[in-house]
Amino acid sequence: MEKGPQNKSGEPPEESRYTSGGIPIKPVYTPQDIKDLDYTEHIGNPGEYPFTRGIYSGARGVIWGQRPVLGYGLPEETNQRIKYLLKYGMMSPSGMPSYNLTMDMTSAFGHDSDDPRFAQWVGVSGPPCNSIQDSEAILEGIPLEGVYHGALSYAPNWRVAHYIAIADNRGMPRRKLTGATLNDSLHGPIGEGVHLFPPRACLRLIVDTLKFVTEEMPYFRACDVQAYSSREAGCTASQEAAFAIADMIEVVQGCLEKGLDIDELAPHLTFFFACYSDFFEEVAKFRAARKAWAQIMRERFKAQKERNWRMRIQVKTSASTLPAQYPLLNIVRSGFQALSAIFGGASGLNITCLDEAFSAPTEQSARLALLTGKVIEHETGIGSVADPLAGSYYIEYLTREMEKAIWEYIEKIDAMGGYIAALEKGYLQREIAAANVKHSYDLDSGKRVIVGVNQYQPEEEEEEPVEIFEQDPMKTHKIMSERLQKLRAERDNGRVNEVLAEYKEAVSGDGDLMPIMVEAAKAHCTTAEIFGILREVLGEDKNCLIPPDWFTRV
Amino acid sequence: MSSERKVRILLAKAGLDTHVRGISILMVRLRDAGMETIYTGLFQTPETIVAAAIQEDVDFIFLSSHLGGHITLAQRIIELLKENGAENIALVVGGVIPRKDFPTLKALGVREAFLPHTLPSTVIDFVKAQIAAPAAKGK
Repeated sequence: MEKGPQNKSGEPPEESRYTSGGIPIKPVYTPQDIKDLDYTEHIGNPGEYPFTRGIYSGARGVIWGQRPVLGYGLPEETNQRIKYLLKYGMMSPSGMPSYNLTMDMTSAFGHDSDDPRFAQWVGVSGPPCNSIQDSEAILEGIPLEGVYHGALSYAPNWRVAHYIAIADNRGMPRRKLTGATLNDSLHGPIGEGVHLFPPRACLRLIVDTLKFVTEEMPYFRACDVQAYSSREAGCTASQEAAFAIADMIEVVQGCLEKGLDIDELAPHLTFFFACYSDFFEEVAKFRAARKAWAQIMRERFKAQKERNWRMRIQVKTSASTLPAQYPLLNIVRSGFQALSAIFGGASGLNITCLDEAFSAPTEQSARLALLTGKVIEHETGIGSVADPLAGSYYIEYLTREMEKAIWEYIEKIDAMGGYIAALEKGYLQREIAAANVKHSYDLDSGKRVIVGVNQYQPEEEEEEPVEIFEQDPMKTHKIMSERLQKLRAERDNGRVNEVLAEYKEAVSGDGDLMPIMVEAAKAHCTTAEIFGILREVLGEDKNCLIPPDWFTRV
Repeated sequence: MSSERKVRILLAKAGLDTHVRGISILMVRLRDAGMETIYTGLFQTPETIVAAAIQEDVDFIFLSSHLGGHITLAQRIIELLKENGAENIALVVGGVIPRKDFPTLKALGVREAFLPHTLPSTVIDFVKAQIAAPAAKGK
């Protein structure tokens, strides 16, 4: 194996002269480097425009929530995992008990668990979500009110429709539902996430949910741009922030065209970022992204209320930086990334588990990740003061450089006609591919070092053991299939057909979809029935990360 | 066009797995190393993968798998290669593959399996070694 550059002459090794995203850096920074920065104009106090230093003033700036993404197996197994982790302090930024619920790929792609083509993914990366029954099983013993429900679903938000239907069935006013969903399918094509429909159709579905929540669910965040998925697909830090902002610009424009008011829409928007290992670059990314977004909300979209200029950031520490070699070392990596996210002013923090390269997390690894955050919160003292790195010559310089890089991308994408146009041209995918290939060459040459991957590799027999979470998708598939059969036999199929016909009519025209989806949930319609209609009417899109012109065959 | 035929590799994704970062890098790196790469696109089945491999006359199928199910997929692909008299095409598996599955995969006839975070140079060296030792092929 080729070794990395050695530090023979006392010069810093070459890789440290650039951040991981390629911003040139010097060994020392002085007041000279930030002499052009005006504190009030460029930085500002925490909780004040341009929000570089965080969205909360004073002591509020140090609160962060911890809502790990979780779920596996049967709905009741996921229910047990939620209850287990709630005991160890899963909570939202506002301090409510909270969780972030995934679903398996079979459901996410709009199929039922008994579809033999997709049996082997049932319950693997989340619990199945076939009908309202599954969501009820997940919520068993968990109060609907007073809990911040992270019901993560893509557009259309079928899981959210279940939650609304459950609230209706229990006589709880919809406006009392607190929580969040992803409702972003526009990042799927540049990440490794989920999207099913052509971008314009995705946008319509995203706007549909946002329209519904602005009217009926004031405490439900309903667009969480999945910058995490594009970063894990290989974006640099500045690309991650810029592409996320460009995506959100497209969503906001779509909502405004639909007649929504910017100040009513803004409280529902959030950003879901990754956090990688280049410590200061990540801190600078969060600070710069917040500032850019504040400027866009104020100047481009003319939001009137100052609090609507704030970018709420939820962070999940990176999974793809956690290799299989020396898995216990991943606790250290995630810990540093979490520190960096907190220094960057994240509102929510989700620390990734050490066994990410092997399987879904075990109960123990999930608890360890959650408690890592608690150590930072209670023992390190770094949360006592808002934005403690502010004023550092280096941090302020780097934040400025990051901001320039972000704006350069936003302006380019604007000039192309916006995020969807840039996506359709393959521009975003090609930028990410270029970053990926460069990174791979840097690893091969040793310019960049990942311990255990391209230096200090373990001898095979020395590898540390890690418990692998064993799953049995075929068993889950079988159990869920029996439940679906029973459901289809027992429900009022006349009512099912009636609602589905109404849904199809709305999808074919430009009707509002969420109110009908809620009725469909109550009628025990299944995922494949809802998504089948969408596929038929809207068409499918199979682009994912790889630039369209790279396909030899599709 | 040189008289020497370039190595041809089919990069494949199956089922609902959308983790394509690894193969997007390999597409470029293998090409840079003088090999020809063909990408199947997402959501393929063993049937469509084998059909594409035969039609494109490839030397290797690289199956990328990040959501489990790699053993079932590998088994079916190898069955289909045999059924179609295409045992000369070698199957290689990479992605989130636990080391404990390696013996099972090899026993099924998978030529090589790679752990997450394998360097592209390691994969390229593997292919070059395979070409250099044609006796190892199809054994």
